[in-house]
Amino acid sequence: MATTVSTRPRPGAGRQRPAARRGPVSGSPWLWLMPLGTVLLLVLVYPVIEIVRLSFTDASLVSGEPYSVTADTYASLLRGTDFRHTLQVTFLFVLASVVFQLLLGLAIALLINGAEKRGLRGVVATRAVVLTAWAIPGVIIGVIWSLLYQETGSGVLNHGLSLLGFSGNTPFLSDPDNALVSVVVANIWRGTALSMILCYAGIKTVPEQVYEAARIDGASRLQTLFRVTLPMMLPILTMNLVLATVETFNSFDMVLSLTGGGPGTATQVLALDVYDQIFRQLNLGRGAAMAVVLMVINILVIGLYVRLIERQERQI
Amino acid sequence: MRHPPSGSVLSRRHLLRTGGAAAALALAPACASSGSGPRSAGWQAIPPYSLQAPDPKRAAYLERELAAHRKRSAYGIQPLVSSNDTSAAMAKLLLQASQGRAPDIAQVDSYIFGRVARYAQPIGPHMERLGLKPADWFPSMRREMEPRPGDIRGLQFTSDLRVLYYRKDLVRTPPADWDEMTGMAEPLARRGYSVLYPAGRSEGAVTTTLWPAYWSRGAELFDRAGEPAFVSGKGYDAMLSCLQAVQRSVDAGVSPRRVAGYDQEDDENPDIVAGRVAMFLGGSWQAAALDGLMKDENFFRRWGVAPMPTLGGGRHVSATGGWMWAAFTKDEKKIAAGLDWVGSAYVSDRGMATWCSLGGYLPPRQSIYERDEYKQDPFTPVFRDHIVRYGRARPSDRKYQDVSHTMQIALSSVASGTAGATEALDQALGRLVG
Repeated sequence: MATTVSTRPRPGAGRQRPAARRGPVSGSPWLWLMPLGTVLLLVLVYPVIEIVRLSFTDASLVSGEPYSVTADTYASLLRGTDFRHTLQVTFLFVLASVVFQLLLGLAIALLINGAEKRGLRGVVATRAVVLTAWAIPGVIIGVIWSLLYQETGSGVLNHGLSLLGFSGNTPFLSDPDNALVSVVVANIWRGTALSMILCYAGIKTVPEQVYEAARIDGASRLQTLFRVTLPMMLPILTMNLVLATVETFNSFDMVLSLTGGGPGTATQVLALDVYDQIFRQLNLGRGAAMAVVLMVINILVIGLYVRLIERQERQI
Repeated sequence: MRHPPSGSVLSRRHLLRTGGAAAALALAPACASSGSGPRSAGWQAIPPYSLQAPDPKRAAYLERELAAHRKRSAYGIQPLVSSNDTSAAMAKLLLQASQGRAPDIAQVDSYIFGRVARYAQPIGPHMERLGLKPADWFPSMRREMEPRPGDIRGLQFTSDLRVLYYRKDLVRTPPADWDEMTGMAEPLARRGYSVLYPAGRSEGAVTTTLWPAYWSRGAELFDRAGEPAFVSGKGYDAMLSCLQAVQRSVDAGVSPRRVAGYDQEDDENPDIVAGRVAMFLGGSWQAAALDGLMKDENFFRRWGVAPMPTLGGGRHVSATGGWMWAAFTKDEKKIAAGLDWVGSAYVSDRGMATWCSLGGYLPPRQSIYERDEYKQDPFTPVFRDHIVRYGRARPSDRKYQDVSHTMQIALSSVASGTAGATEALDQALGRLVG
């Protein structure tokens, strides 16, 4: 059948639309970006510049007290064993927390997904219960866990241990080694919820046809997990890793209420050290220097994430 | 040719006007001084001392007083609340005061008042109007209120001190020093009774456990130049002795290592109520609190009070504390209005008697102890005597926060067994002086 070209003019074709007025506002993107740019400048760029500037001084929190510009704040951080110890504690805290948050979050997400597929009841309730930990403020989590860890027979965990035949006087928070483990456990409990939600979302992005293809090819459950599910979830897992790492590096509210960094400096993480320096010891310069170190660590972690994502996208 | 309506296109002038107005509105609150209008004075307190007090009796008392004050005063009072974290609250107040943004009237912890005093306004001229006599305050507290003689900058309205509490059925004669206390407690420890003191990372721990023992050796925390005086010599020996005394009491099994997690004196209360404690170093406010917690027995009948143990010397010392009101506004009318309010509720004869009764505090004014409104417990006369004989306030040197924080870490390290006394002290000195 031959196609015909309509020669009828389109409605309104004869009437020329007036050229769009290109005023100074609608034409330029910069004026539209100015409000957001101003906000970012005020709440992000300026504070960062100010913190870096203060890190090169020995200023105290009290305005008007004289201070001098010096690089000695950084030199004293490098010289002293304190800061090295704080970094060591922080890295141990972050490593243990992130690894277990990821593993537990993934495990719970897989279980919930499996339960959903089988039509089991209580899946939504389970998700809600797990998410509750995420909704609780860090300070309250510290208070809750300090009650659990109480080191007398009236402590919940100690009482439970005594019923199982163990000693009811385990020093969860007063022994320096136990204290770090206790803080890590509390942090894992706190962070698993977010990890679970992200892993669950990642599992849902894997198309059902891929699982079907794997089943047809005779893949076992473990093979499906390691050869299909995890590789397809890699972007989500990477983002999960970065979020958990940055959040754990910056976390101090729970540690503050649980141990305050003690006993001694056994649980003194970097973010808490910054808080102590500035608000307890009023050492703004030294606190700012530590804050800059923390910021650099976070930037490196995020930079690594960006590189990984770019590499994955290039591979795709 | 018909022009489209001009209102449908945003001109640059319109946009700049709107943006400028939005910026002015956003910045306006930052320009106002903290919390008060032209005919009201901003009054800032920490939550337990404010209308948000968790104790309903305190909150009700303050609400009644404020309502009565508002009826009789032409000036309003604008309540402001700071944080429960007193360290952060005082740090913020110090920052605000140094920038001229502090509230008109604010509550200040006595140990930090020395640093804040230079920003506070003189309130001596108001004392007579308020019916207050500076000589009525205990001398050690009056010295804190007056950075220079005659120049009163603060009104202390609560005080407390530290004492040794002992079970009268377990300890016949209270020990005079730390070694005697540890020796006496060893057989009691075998029976399941312990000696407690706060040894965590907190101001309360060093104030109770370290400073009184250190001062009992005749040593000072700071030299004339404001530098730590325990870097070497007599001060070093005294501080080392304090930490060694703590180490001995923990190593002997007399004090459990969990004292390293006791930040406040009140953290000892569960053990005390459970009947597992023979002696403890605590605050004067704990007596009334414990009597309330012990339903089945009378705390005052079972327990006795003695001066804080020394470190081998005969000189008992107890650290005192408390809270002050200070005025930061330069407006004399606001100062008068604010002082009228805090004076009536917290500092006047009736106000201080009532407030200290409600909170279990010791009045810093001597005449209040004679008043019927002030509810005393059986230990109050002892506490009053200790304030006069042994009371000593913490120093207000610029480096006090550094020293306190560093020694908190040392104390906690020794009590938890993380470090020995010498190692902990040397590490602390490394942090302080490099």
